[in-house]
Amino acid sequence: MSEGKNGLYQPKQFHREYRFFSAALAVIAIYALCLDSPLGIWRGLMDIMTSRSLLVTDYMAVGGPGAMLMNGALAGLFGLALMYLSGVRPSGAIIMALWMTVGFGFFGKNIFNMLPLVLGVWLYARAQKKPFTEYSLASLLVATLCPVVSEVAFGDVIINHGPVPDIILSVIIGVISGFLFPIVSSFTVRVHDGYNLYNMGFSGGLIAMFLIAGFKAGGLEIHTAQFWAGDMNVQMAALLYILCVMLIAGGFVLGRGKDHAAAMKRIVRSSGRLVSDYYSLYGETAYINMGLLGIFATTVVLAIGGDINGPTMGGVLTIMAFGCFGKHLRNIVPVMAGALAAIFANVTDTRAPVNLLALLFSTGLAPIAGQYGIIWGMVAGFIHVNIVIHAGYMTNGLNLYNNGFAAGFVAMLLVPVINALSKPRD
Amino acid sequence: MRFEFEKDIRIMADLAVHCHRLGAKEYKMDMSCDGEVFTFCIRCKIKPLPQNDLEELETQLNRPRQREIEESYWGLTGEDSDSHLTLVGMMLDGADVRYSGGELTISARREA
Repeated sequence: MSEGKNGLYQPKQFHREYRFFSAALAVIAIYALCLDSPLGIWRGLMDIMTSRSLLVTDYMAVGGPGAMLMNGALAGLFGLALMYLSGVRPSGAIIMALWMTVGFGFFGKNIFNMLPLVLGVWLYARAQKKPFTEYSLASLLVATLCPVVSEVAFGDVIINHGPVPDIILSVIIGVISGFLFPIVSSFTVRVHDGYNLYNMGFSGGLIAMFLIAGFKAGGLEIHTAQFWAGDMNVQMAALLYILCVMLIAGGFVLGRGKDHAAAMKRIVRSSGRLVSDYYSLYGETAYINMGLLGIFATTVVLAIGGDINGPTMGGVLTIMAFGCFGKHLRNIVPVMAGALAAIFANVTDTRAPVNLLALLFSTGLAPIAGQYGIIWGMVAGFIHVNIVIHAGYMTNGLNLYNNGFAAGFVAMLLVPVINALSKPRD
Repeated sequence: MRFEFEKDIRIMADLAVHCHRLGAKEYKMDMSCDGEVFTFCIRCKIKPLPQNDLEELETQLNRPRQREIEESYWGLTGEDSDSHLTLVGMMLDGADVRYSGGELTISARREA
């Protein structure tokens, strides 16, 4: 069916890209059922949905590995259903957001805490008299603020009001946060000029920061918490490798006849700066790129002795997700190298959660390496690791994409300095 | 609708800067906007313009319109880079790119 240039969305169509993504969700769900019984998964899901979900809440520690994986699959299914029912045509950005939804479904995002935020985005679309489809990307990525909903509903921020009033209040605050999100995110992108791929994390962080200020002004404190599981490296790494092989195979099978080598060369030559929609530009070669990135990132975590659990799997899946929207091996390796140097240089354990997550999510600054070269990429990664902890203090765990928040500041500072001192690669 | 005129101007600025990067001289720009449809035309002298650059420009500006990307990232337009050309294409409803006698003509339209 010809889709035309005018951007009018077709009636609901289960595009081939959505079918492929569904297959990946099915693999994750089946894997979950291999790790735990349906009853065990159900109980785990209930624990997950009623958890505070602050950063860092490893859903494997909260509900068990089976429930964690199933929650990720369900979060992905929710996102997919939203895109399908809205009639959104898949692009690199949408594919990226769907995979990110799965990844963060392993640590912080669940159906309960996503709904009010999505409702808020929908209300904003209504207020602007525009179709919801135009905010479909925002509706998926607004989930950076999922902890806001869960913390108000199930945390100790609002005390002595009982579960029902707390849940009602969490929905209200979630809707307001979701309403503000598209406004803020469309402007924050100018601040870092596209050099922070996790722009939504930056805007989410700003909103969370103001929420924290509001809570504190009202005498309410959010006590951060950390849930972190381990000892399942073999099983979880195996799943990640399976998904990567599936993506690479999918790229070759669905994109048969295409010159993937030539397309990969073009991908790798690009800076990755927003908007680099590799799927729209190069088709299924983007899947191959995603798979290669996932293999690399998983291997790095294993090589440094890190845990493969909810948060780190989320980090790997995020790197994979952006394989169709800005990342490739040439631009993530320098940033990760710089981040690794900072991790070895700092006083905390190399395998500490904050370090592992900073290592994986520092790749949000990949465009700096892509545009300005290896050295500046390493500088960006190095600075990022040192900034991310302080960014977390400002949001008290309410912003899931905290590394995106930190990366916004790094890009904001570093890019003007680089431009003043050197010429871009292209 | 909010910001539509600002988006239109930024798209033109982006393309003007892109033409400058291609070595353009003597620009002429026309635009019209009736509230719902924005049309513009940029003419500039560029000698020589490699065929690759011309084809790349035509391909990028004729990408399918993607309003969800537009709403999230339109703030990036207004200064040129390779990744912005893709974004500009995603914000247009049609573009015609011609090069003849050393003159590049870009005509495009965009519905609010």
